[in-house]
Amino acid sequence: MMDREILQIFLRSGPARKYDVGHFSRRVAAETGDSSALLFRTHFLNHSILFKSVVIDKSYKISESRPISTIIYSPYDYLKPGDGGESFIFSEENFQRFFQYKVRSETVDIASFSSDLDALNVFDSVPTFSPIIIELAFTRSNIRPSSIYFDLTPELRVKLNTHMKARIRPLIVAAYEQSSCDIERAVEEMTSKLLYLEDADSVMPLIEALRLDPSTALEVLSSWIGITYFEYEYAALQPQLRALSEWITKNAKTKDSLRPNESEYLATLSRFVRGRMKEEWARVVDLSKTYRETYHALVFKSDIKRFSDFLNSCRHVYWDLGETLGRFEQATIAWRMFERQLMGHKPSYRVVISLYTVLRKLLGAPPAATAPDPEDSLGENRGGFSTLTADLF
Amino acid sequence: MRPPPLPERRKEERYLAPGMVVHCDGEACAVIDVSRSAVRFVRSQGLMLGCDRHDLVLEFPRAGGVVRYPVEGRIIRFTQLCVVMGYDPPAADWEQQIKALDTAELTALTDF
Repeated sequence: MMDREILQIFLRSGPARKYDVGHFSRRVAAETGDSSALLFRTHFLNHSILFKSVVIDKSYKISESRPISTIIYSPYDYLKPGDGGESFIFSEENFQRFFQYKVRSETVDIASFSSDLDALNVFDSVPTFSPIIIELAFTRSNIRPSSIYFDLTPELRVKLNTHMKARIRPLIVAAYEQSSCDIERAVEEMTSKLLYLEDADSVMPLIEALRLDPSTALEVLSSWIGITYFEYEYAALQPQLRALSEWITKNAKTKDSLRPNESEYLATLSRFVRGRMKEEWARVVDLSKTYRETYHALVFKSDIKRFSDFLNSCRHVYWDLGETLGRFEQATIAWRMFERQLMGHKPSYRVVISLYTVLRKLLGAPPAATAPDPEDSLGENRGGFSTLTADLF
Repeated sequence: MRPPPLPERRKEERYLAPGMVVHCDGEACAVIDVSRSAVRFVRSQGLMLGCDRHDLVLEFPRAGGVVRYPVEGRIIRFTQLCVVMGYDPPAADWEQQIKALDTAELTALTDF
């Protein structure tokens, strides 16, 4: 059984949390007419929807190094995903089990398992499905799907690349000017190489200049580049969050006359939601400040140590910012839907409470799924929506 | 031996301006950072830095199209990787214009 209410919330998520493979597969089929251009070789994966969710392990803990997992959702009816389906939390083991289970019900080319697993690992390696994050991750893995899968207009792609290169270019110059290594490579070439991180050897002098551990350097650098992108995403989200915060303060009035206990409950909920928003946002602002200060220390003051120290912690910051971005994005989507449904009218008490309840659950604790129990039999509990902690929305 | 940077430039606010390009004697070079009276840009391989003064065109995208400001550049310093040139601000609101392009300015987050 699937918790449909939770499923609906997931299906209404923004691009940080939801990646609709089926939607892109249909576009690829319509625009190219070439089935070999589809991302996966396995039929059900080309009609699946991927979600990011916090996963709680059996001891009710969230992994600190990677707090978000990827849920693969396979709808029963590909055109009506809200009507239910099967899901599992992605891991190679879970995928293998689910794959074998699906082989029984449809024709599957077993040879496709490996390439599909590679693509799923790329999706799982990042904290959000933001198009540029996905595109960079695929490029770094040397997997080149149709550009339709990245859902970026050429203008937006140029804008984001320009933004990130403007951040990376001074970093290259600052690192190399302090380095004793050979710096014959042109700055522009190195800037592109660092952005796409396709070739570890080509950025090795930079890794040395930044005093990074070579075994983790690529992950560290890709995390830093991810944070650079999130800087842009958060800036875009900021006005909407500010508007939501102001709406809570000024406009969240109901059309009903309320009893004292109802007024008190509403006030308590709104205080909690606004307090959590402020608290979470302040944390993001603080992380952003550290990112900027350490960057400026290197680029303008030649302080490589502070920057390197931040780099060594930035994998955690990257995943944290990605998870929080998903929550904020979902909160603003919930509020926009609420406003749209009201069409300028004052809401009833019940409707306002339901919005606050969703916001409280989004902002109060991350939406979470429980990790699969290996003892569960196939097809019953693969750690997807069936085991999502029911009260988190 | 590198000449020491001019103290005035060090005091100025420096901006990272995505999409800004400087044409030095006709050679397009990516800008690393720019301040009110100096620009640091990537040293392209064909750039000849024999004389102190060079023709610069500061170019950046705007909503209505690309904006270009021709100025005279004076070498402050250069390395194998980059060149720093000083110039006289080409417009009264020059600093506001480059500040409006700044990555940090465009993505600044503030508390509610």
